[in-house]
Amino acid sequence: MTQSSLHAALGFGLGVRPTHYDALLGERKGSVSWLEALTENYLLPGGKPLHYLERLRAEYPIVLHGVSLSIGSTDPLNETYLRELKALADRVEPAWISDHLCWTGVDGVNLHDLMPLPFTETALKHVVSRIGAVQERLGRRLVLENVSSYVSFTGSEMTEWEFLREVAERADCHLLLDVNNVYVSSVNHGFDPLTYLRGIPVERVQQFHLAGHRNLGNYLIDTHDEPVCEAVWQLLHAAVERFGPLSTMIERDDNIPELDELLAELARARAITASAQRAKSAA
Amino acid sequence: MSARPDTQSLADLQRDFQRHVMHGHERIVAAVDGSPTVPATLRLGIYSEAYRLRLTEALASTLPRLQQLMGKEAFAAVAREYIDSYPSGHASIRWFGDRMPQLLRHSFPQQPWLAELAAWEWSIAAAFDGADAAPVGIETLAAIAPDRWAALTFRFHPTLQVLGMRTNAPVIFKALSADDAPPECVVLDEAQPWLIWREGLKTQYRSLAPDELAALELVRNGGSFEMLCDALCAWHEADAVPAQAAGLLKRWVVEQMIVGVS
Repeated sequence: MTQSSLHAALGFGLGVRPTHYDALLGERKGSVSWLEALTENYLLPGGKPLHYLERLRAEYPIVLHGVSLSIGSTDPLNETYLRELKALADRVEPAWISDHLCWTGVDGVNLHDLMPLPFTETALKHVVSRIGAVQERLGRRLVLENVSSYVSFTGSEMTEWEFLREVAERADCHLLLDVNNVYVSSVNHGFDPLTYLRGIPVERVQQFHLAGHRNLGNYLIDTHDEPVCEAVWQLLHAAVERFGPLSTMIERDDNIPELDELLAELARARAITASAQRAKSAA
Repeated sequence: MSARPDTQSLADLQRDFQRHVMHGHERIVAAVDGSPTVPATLRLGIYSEAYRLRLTEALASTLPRLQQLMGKEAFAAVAREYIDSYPSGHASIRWFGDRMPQLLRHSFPQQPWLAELAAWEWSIAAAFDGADAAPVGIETLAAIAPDRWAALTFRFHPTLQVLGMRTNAPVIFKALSADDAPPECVVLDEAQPWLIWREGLKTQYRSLAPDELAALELVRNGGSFEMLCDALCAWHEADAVPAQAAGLLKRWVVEQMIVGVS
């Protein structure tokens, strides 16, 4: 596969949240290049959420970002979910569909959280075969995101970045590199985030995520309720140097500020991206 | 289970992990790396704590007035009970909480307004993001030939729901939604019917008089305009009935409840 199989970069965007609907359609129309919509928030019969999603879609490219695909679960794939996701994708025509490289529950339970996988050959084979099935069902490549994690398993046989690379290459899918998640996990598990970045194949990465987290002293928690921190900005610089200026967006799920505050953060992402590109071309 | 033999070890690990998150079972601890500063149990605890917190927040976001009425602490206790009794099987967290009225009826039989407020808020939410349908305008009714009226039938907006409330839960809801002090919670002498529906993007509700309830139920079930008139004879003088029936229909049309006439 070559880089041309990736969707062209969309520029700088935000995760769309209901409090910002009116601003994004009104006084701040065009202030971002694209929007990421949380899939599950729009798997609905109708009403306001879908009404706004369609109006936003008329103004912006949209990416659908899910949390319930549970691609790593040993439960059967959720056919209802896949059918609804496909119907939503047919309606919204997203630039791509992303979810997380994780599992969210077994035995029919949804824990509504992104649970970590052991990095084993067994898990790898399992996930790769499921990605194949989902990609066939959706008729497009999936984009899968690295999650923040707080545990690693004694049975793991490879590093997280080796696992990600193998998943992407064997399943022929794309990756969403969450720079904050790399940082959070690097602190929680004591690895070098730059080694992680170097382990990810450049031609597989479609998108960057940025977000804030909480520092609890001995470990970090991925909360998406604070601004992006300095260490993550630095890591973004390194990521752009390696992967280029990819579609970049900020996720904010709690303690959501005015749109302008997020736009200011996005301006910083833009500046860092430009600076990393200059550094790369000077090198 | 569904897992193939070669994924059995993965299935076992996930099941153990989930049991820890939901019930605190310890078997997964041995399969998790710890560090001197952050031991395995602390690491696993992050997931179980987040699980309860996230689901409690989801319930509070779907049932905000119930949380206001009960107070945060009492609500959190009910949420804990709910989370343990009815784990989510929904793809979207939006649907978590559907059996809260059931739990409240059972746990608070002396405060039936709690279960009714939960049911009410759930129905309001269902109208908010329920299916769309284009309303019929008054001009459509006006254009119908007089000889067709007797046999006319009507389709209602898919979000329309009739709820018989035995407490003043909707009034409590209204006050709390407006940031007013709620009235005293009371059980009514007889059930009061209420209507919830969506007008455009706006969720609406109002109480129903007995004649309108009967009329609405009849017409929703496919009863014709002529049958509507017959039914209204139980409440009104015969010569006032056509005007009453036309008045109800006009109101339903103006309130965008009717989405089809045939």
